[in-house]
Amino acid sequence: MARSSRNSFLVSGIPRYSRSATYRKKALYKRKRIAVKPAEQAKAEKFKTVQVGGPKNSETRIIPLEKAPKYYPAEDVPKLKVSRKTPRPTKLRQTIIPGSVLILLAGRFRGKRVVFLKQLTSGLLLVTGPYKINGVPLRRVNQAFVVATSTKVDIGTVKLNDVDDQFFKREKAESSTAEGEFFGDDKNGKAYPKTKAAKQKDVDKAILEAVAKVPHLGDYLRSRFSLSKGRGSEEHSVGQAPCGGVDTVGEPKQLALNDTVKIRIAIAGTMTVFFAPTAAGPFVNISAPYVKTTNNQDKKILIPISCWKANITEGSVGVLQAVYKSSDGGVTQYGCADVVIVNVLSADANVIRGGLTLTILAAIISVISGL
Amino acid sequence: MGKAVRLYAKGRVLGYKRSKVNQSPNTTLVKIEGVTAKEETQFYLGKHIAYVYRAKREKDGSKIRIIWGRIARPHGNGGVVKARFRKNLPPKTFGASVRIMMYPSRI
Repeated sequence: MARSSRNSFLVSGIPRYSRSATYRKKALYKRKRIAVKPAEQAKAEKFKTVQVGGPKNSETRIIPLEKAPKYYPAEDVPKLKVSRKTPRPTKLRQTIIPGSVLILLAGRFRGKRVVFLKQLTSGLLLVTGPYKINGVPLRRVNQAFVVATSTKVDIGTVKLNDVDDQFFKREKAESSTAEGEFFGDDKNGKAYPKTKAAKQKDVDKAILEAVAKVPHLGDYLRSRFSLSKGRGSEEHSVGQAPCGGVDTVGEPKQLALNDTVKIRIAIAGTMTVFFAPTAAGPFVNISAPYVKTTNNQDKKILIPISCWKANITEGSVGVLQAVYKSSDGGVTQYGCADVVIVNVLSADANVIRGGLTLTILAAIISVISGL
Repeated sequence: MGKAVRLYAKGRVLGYKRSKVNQSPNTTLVKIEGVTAKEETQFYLGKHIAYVYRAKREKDGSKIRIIWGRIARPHGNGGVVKARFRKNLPPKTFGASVRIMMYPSRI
């Protein structure tokens, strides 16, 4: 907080403390006096000599170089104090390093994962999709609207010298003629400037090469981030082991020792339930394979689980994984739930009584439509 | 756009900050889904919060309106937070759900 003066005015113009009292209070006597040497000013010519005509005018006259102003204020106008404050450059969050993958939180590209390139002088972050992978062009974002991930992309070879805040300035729109508007000349809008498109390609090229070197990095950048309830119910991600690709850990749900796992399966196939202390594995089979022979998508099936198989006791936490294989062997689906094992389900258990519902239905519906 | 992306936590309006007889409508109590302890509210402090509702008459070409606010501080030890909105939430919002955005982000 800025400190205000301790000296107040008793009435306008008469301060509470005299000049010498303030001197004492401020302890100015402690301050060493440093004699300030008057800076040697370069003697600037202020006058010039001009030849003048006329016999009585003594041939030359000395006149000032700068004319005195015609207007002179009658009263002294107090000069405004010049502020010496300058805005400090925005500090980059520690988690954000050039090459980090960021998740955009707002705007039309919200949820997209992008590559951070550099911080611009305005403090904004320069990011790119790359455009070819997820459709995000070179763009500026405020770091408050970004989540940094621990993933990094090698951007060592990318040249960004000519991409600055100026690059993003809008060009002035040409004033369209009323006639042109009437005939719909402006229908297609303005084309994207070629120089910008070229720069985009230029920047993305090196990044795309770096992304291609790391397995699954492209898929990661292509996927959108979203909050979800627990794991395993995301349509777009069901399929990859171990948890269908959803890696956000949810609120652990209660699972009783002798419980059943409720699972929706739409199409005939085999379902097996596994357990692991973490999503990294190792997954232990804790159920007998459940074989479903009919195709109907509304029925939930109940699979009894045997916790002793995975050495689970009361209080254990871990990941429950359900694996589905279609009867023709063509489709394999994975779904996960984070669970905490309890002896008896408490009344306010965050779960439907008698079991845990895992939905790995969504992707299977798409198979139905193919049938 | 593909599948809908949810980038906010769900919250529930519990009511105004209040004592036994008085209530202060400029502070609203909000329960955030999945947050059950005071320490867990830490992440949400300062985050933008939005009450989204629909109205009959269009404004700026949309029938959807939003009252924005921010999460101010925790309330008690059970993961409830106090929020301040630009316009105080009307009492009919009690029980309604609000969106707790992930920005301004600190991670």
